[in-house]
Amino acid sequence: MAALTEAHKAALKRFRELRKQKGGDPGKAAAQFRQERKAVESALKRGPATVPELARASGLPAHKVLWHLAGMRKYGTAQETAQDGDYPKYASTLSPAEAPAPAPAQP
Amino acid sequence: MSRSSAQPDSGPASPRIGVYVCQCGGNISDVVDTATVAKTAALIPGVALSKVHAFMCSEPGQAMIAEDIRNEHLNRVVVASCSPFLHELTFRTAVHRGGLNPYLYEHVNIREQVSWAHHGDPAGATVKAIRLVAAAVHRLRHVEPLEEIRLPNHRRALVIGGGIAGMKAAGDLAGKGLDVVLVEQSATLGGRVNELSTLFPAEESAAPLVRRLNDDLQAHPRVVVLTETVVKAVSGFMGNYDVMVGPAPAAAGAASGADPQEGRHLTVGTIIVATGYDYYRPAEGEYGFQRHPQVIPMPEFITLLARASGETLEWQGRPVRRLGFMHCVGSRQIEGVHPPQPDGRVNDYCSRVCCTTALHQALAAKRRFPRMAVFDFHQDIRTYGRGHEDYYLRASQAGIMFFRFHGDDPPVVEPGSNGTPIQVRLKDWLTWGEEVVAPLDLLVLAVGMTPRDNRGLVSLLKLPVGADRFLQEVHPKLRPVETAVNGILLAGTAQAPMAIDETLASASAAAAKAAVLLAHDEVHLEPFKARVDPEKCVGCGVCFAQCAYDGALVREEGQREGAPITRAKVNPGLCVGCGACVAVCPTRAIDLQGWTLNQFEAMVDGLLSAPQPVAATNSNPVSDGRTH
Amino acid sequence: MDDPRPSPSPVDVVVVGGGIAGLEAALDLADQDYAVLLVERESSIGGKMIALSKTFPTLDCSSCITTPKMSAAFHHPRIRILTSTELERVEARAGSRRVHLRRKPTYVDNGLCIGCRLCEYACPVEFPDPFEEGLGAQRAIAVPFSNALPQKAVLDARHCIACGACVKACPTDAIRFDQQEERFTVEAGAVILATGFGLNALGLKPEYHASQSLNIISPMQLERLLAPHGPYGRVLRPSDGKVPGSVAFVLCAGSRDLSLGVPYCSRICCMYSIKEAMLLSGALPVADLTVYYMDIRAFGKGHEQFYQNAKAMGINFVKGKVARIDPVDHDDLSLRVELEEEGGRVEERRHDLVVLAQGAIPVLEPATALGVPAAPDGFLNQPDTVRITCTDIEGVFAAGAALGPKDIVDSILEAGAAAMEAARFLAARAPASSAAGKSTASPPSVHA
Repeated sequence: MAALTEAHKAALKRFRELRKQKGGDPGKAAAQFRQERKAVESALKRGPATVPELARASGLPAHKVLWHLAGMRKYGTAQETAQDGDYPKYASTLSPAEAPAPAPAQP
Repeated sequence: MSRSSAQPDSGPASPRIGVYVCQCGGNISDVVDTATVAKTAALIPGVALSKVHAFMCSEPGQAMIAEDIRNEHLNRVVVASCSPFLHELTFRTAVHRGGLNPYLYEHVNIREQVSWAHHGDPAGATVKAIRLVAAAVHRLRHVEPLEEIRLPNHRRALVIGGGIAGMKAAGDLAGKGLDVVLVEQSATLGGRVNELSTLFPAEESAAPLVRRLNDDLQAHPRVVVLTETVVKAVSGFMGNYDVMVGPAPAAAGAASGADPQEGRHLTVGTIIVATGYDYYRPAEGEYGFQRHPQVIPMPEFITLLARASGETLEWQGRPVRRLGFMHCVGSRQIEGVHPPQPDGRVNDYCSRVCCTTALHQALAAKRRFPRMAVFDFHQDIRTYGRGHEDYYLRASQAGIMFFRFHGDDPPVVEPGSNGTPIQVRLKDWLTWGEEVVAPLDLLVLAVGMTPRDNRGLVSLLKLPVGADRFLQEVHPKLRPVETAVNGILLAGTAQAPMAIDETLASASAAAAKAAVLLAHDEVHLEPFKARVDPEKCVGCGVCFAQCAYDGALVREEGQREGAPITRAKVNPGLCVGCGACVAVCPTRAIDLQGWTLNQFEAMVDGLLSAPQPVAATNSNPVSDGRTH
Repeated sequence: MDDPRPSPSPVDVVVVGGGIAGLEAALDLADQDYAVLLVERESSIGGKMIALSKTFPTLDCSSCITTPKMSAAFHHPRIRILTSTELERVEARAGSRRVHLRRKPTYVDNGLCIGCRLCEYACPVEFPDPFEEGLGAQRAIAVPFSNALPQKAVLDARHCIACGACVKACPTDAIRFDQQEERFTVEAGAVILATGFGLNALGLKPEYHASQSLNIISPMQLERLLAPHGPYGRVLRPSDGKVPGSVAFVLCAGSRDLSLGVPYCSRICCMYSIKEAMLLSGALPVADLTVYYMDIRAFGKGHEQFYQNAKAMGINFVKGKVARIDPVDHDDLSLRVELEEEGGRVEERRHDLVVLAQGAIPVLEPATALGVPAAPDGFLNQPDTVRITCTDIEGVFAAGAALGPKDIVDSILEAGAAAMEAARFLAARAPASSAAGKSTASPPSVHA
């Protein structure tokens, strides 16, 4: 993995400045994404679960959980396992070391 | 992905064969365990590597093959995927991109012939796929590089049919600067459009449209138009068709004695078939046809309305105050409900244009005779085209009354009981299936399209015909204007029902394809042709009797052991590579280039010696060949 | 190669739009030896078709039909392709057509990118993937989709947090955060507009409450759900990942409706809905599938037979108007249907998932792009009834859905026709020595 050169850093800086001028700031959305993704990953640590189950465990809306699972499937960190009634179950493919610790279960 | 090291010399060329198993995005891998096929294939002698991809035909799949050829020094390639009909050419090109002769390639069909045929038996399907791959690998060990056959291309097109499709195609080709001969069996150009009055959706007259097409032909000295002429005989192949044209039967009868055009030969590179359509002719009694003189087909009504004068429309001396249009006559027929056509089949297709035609005529009648009551009997109103829906809207606004019937319970036409000569009785599904009787003075049957009876031409050109009796394209999206006969193209309604604008587009698309075929001075043909080994040929002549393609085998005088002998020689342009001559040759002097008897024997060996499946650890996820 | 501008020499034909119509037109012209520049506004060629699961009426997988044409165009020695490039306008004057183009920055040097996706794996940001119609996730730098052409990474500046992880990961140093938008002009003998169509908003009819339920989806979303590489790998409803037990298709949900400004028929919806219902019956064998329609317009070759097969498979076809759709408990939807065959009786019907057949609408503005008014339906005008692919500007032709909604087969035929008209136009203007249509322009050099 290459380190960033001065030229890279300058280009990145200009890119950020230019975007700021245009009023765009994806930082907030990215932070929210990371927070949600972590919540889904830790909910999955308790074992395979359906979307509604993961929604309850993570406190996220079900559709968001499903969207995160789609991304995790695409990039290889989750997979579909069994099916529970009308809902497929998902499992993490991350090793315990890679996944965030499970959050305390929602009441 | 699994690999095995290169095998020791197990064939003539120290083969390093790459085996590529396509999942077809689940079409194959939902049934066949593609990972197991790949892993097992690696065990077959000669296989250097084997890989799986979700869509081998995609650019990443093709690029992977080309790169492997270069980096892994592959010298033969097998792709196990869909029918060769779809993608053999795709992969030959990919193999060529990798720097290999494109014929050092074998296509195995594990979709149509395996996953689709054995979807209930995944284990058996996987074994069958492995066997077919093994056969291909064994064959490839005996395959030699081949070259396309290059022959001179006669850069001239023949267009058969002088309706608007043929006229447009011929005009386009001439406009592009190519030579064209247009033959038309009748005395005039324009075909069926000559019978029409005003055309939808532009509301222009038919005559000027035909005239413009005709002016286009006249403007180009490169077009030769032969009316009252038909095709009498055809031989040859793409780039080199020899066509004999002569006077149409009716014209021949009128001619006295020797006709200078009799047996005129044309050499052309490509042929566009634009033979058009006929109107469906209802059976006697179908919707009262021929039982009630007040039931007439659409073309007759178009003429009647175009010629109408005075305050009221009259039919056979009686005023038409109540006019009806019956949709789907001869279209969307249902087996068991409608009588079969002479070939035993019903016309189960939609004729596409009749809905808009009916509404167009209904509106025209209503506009011309505002006090006339107009009724429309349909299943669905299919005013799909640009500007068509407008006719439906306006028809509703103009007070035309719509009734909807179900195809399996068509309306009945019977003698009128309320002072009109006929009436239509139907269950109307716009009023919850209530039985309705509509008294009428005239009922127009919106007859569908059937292909023009061109059986003679179909057999002369060996054209494929679909279940609907229209001429059949190779593939509706991949090769929509080409037929399975190389160099023979389709234009207009010979292929399927079309409206006028669609016919013109189809004709131009065929012309574009013809222009591509005529773009260069040479045509390139597949090398899969019979080849005679003059050393082995004893001149017995058995092969000549078996050859079904005139001129494909020619006699060549020579010497054998001092004595004169007549040997067989192959004309590669005319040989289709059917192999009939190969089968009968008692000395094995004839073989099929690219498909030799040795190769077939090797395939049988491959089928019988295929390894048992070796289960892949990672069962069968849909893969896009990417690694993480 | 990193200079996206074409060589200064003119091309014979600029084809605008790399969907199936544009690809077909470009190939038909290049195979006649014309030098073609194909410009595509998205980051991959393939258009709508490459996103479809399968196609009617043959049920061929859409990729299997599209990718060979994409690949053939991409590797054609006489076709040059510029992706992420938008048409600004065509200026026609005294025998020449100047095509003004705008190339959007992708922040990646395509000459250096090898499509390895290491940048994508390194990127920490994901956002709703436009290729998956928002149902899947895409990273801020990514190869657009698995069959994309070119296979080059594209950075999304709206979602990138400029952390530099991709720059560190790239083995060829191909990422260019200083890339700028470029405007340039190409001289062309002829232009073919194959700009396709758009879809009107899912929420166009307020009484359908599409904005209130994620389970009211677009047909393109269902295509992605049915596609083998789809976002969930199977058909699930977006609200909660449930396998739907009952799916409704509402036809004419954005067409044949004067109040929506789309009085015309969108022409493709009947057939793709029937196809999607058929594919669903394979994917969800026990699901209840209902198509609510006004008229079933199965008019093309093999279409009526396809429709009859769908009926025989047990798909329910109900002639009726869907008056309103309301979200109800358990994320389900209640449809108020006026059953036309039962005398207009109104019934409430419950479904898990509802697919609204949106109307097909124009994307190109003829006034902006060509300086000519649009036809009443908003699409490009077709002034010539014999040369149907001619537009109001000499030497500018059009094909496919740019001339009104059209299915794939009809678009391909029209693309062939536009290529033929363009070839005629060029031949008529060429000197006598090249009357047979040999290109006078130099062949294009590199691929973008």
